[in-house]
Amino acid sequence: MALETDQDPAPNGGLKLDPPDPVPAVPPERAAGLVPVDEEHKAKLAARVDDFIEELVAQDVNSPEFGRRVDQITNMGRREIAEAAGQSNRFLDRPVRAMDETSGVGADLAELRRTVEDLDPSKRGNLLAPRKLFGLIPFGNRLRDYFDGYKSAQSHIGTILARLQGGRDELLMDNAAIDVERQKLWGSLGKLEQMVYMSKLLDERLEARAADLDISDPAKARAIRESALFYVRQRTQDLLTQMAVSVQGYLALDIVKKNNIELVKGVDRASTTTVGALRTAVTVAQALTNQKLVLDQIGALNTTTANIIDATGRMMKDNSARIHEQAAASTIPLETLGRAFQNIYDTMDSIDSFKLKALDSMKQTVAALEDEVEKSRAYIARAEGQAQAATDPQGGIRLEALD
Amino acid sequence: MIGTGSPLPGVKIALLRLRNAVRRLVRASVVSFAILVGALVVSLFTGGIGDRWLVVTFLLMLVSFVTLSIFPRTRVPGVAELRKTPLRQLAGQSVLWLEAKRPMLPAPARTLAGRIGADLDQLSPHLARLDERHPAAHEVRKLIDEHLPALVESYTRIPPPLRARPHAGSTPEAQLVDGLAVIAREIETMTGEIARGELDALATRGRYLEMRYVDPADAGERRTAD
Repeated sequence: MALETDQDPAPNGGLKLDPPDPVPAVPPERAAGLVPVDEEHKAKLAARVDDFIEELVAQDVNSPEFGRRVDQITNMGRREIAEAAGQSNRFLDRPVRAMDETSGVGADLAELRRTVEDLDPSKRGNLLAPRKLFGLIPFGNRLRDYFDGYKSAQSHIGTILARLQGGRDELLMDNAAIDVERQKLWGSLGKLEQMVYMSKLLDERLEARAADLDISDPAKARAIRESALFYVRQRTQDLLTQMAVSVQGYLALDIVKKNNIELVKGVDRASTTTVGALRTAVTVAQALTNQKLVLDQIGALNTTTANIIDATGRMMKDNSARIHEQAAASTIPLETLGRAFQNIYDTMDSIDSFKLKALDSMKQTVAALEDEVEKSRAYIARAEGQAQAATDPQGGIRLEALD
Repeated sequence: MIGTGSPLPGVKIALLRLRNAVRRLVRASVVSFAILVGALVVSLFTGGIGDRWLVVTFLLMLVSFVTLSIFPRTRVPGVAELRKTPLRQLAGQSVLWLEAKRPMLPAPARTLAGRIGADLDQLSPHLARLDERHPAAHEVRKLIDEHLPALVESYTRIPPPLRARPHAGSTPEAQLVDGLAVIAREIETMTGEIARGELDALATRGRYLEMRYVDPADAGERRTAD
């Protein structure tokens, strides 16, 4: 049948929104190595490590100077960890935003659905049956009344659609912020990676140096093992823990972004199908009642969202000719209209089921992330406590990442 | 007078004093002029005032002009006042405070104090926009109105002859300089941190514009294929 034309503006049928898989927990030992440290930096960091060890070994074991150097180890990478931790704390509150039912896109979609349901021809009984007063006297025209409903609903729908566009822009803004955040996170991951490299190198070389000193100066060898080396290992663990959190956050942000993209698709489709249905109504009204249904609001919307509904417009033009041809067989245009409404519902349903799935996957991601962040917080608290021993402003070799 | 008007958007200390002087002058002139006008009005209604009252009027004008152009002096806030200063004026007030303490400091510390003053000046317009509850605000406050005064005050409390004598590994002078250096560096870091929000906002806006208008494919299925 000619009217069987799919109302769907997408080339391959129905809307499919895929929620991305949740991010699994990243174990600390596998966190390192995402951002490689280049050879030049490695050489510089190695030089720093060597200088530091030389200075440390030159000090008397019991002198406060020795203690100061060891303090430097406990502070190693404090800045890098704090910076990365600050970022990972922030992305925990990001995911929830887009999925909120009571505000933003979710609420607007729900309101759109309610408004559209009121106009659904299939909920109005037989519109073609003549209307009769007391079931006897012919009075008015059901169809005419039905199409009048569009006129009063159009400004409401227009407002909701405009709000949806605003929500869509917000989602895009979120994604832009995520891009920036990820860029920065990548930077701090690089620095953490340098610190991990440095502390592992420090571990290795201190160990070797202690072995050398075993015969000539056993007391120093022991001090190095018990204080310096102990703190280096603790620090390595801290760095790896933060690394794991940051890597996981980095991946989680990508999920949020993908979710937002899917949601934007959903919003676009919901707008398209709604405008499509309204246009069908205009055509059907013309065909069935010879009534010129003027939906200015929606017309205005057409131009503002021209890009999105371009395809719908083209499709509708084809359809309207056919609807006119079939006007005689008057139930068919109404079926077309019903199908246009069904399209809206299908879109909304797929958004809903997407949201359910995405929410679930987001929950898993956030739970895994929260776990890790919690662990890293404990480390950071410890590091902060030690940091009270605080920094040496002038002298000494600073155990910091390169810029 | 500071404390009443707008925040101090990065004014150098000299500029601040100059502005205060100009304000005082303006105020003094206005009051003197008002006295003159008052005398004129009175003489209009009473059919002229006598020579004696004329002299009194002029004396009154002179005295009020001189007094008002000297007082109130640019007041240097105390440490306790610094704690109560709202964030937007904090940097300006601290600069005043530090400036007053500067002559008491050893030479290298004076340079550092100058640097801290300049940095605070740079920080001040940003502080004006920072919410008092922001964690960075808390940090800034702690650093500027707690650690900085505590460091300087505990140095100035040491009797001068002892200041150059080694104690606990180094001299009090060196310890002061070290401490000030840490504070100077920390203020620099904080300026960076506070500006980071603005840097991020700009970067995000740019990326958004790109996503929205240049590269819509990135933002989702914007246009449907034929």
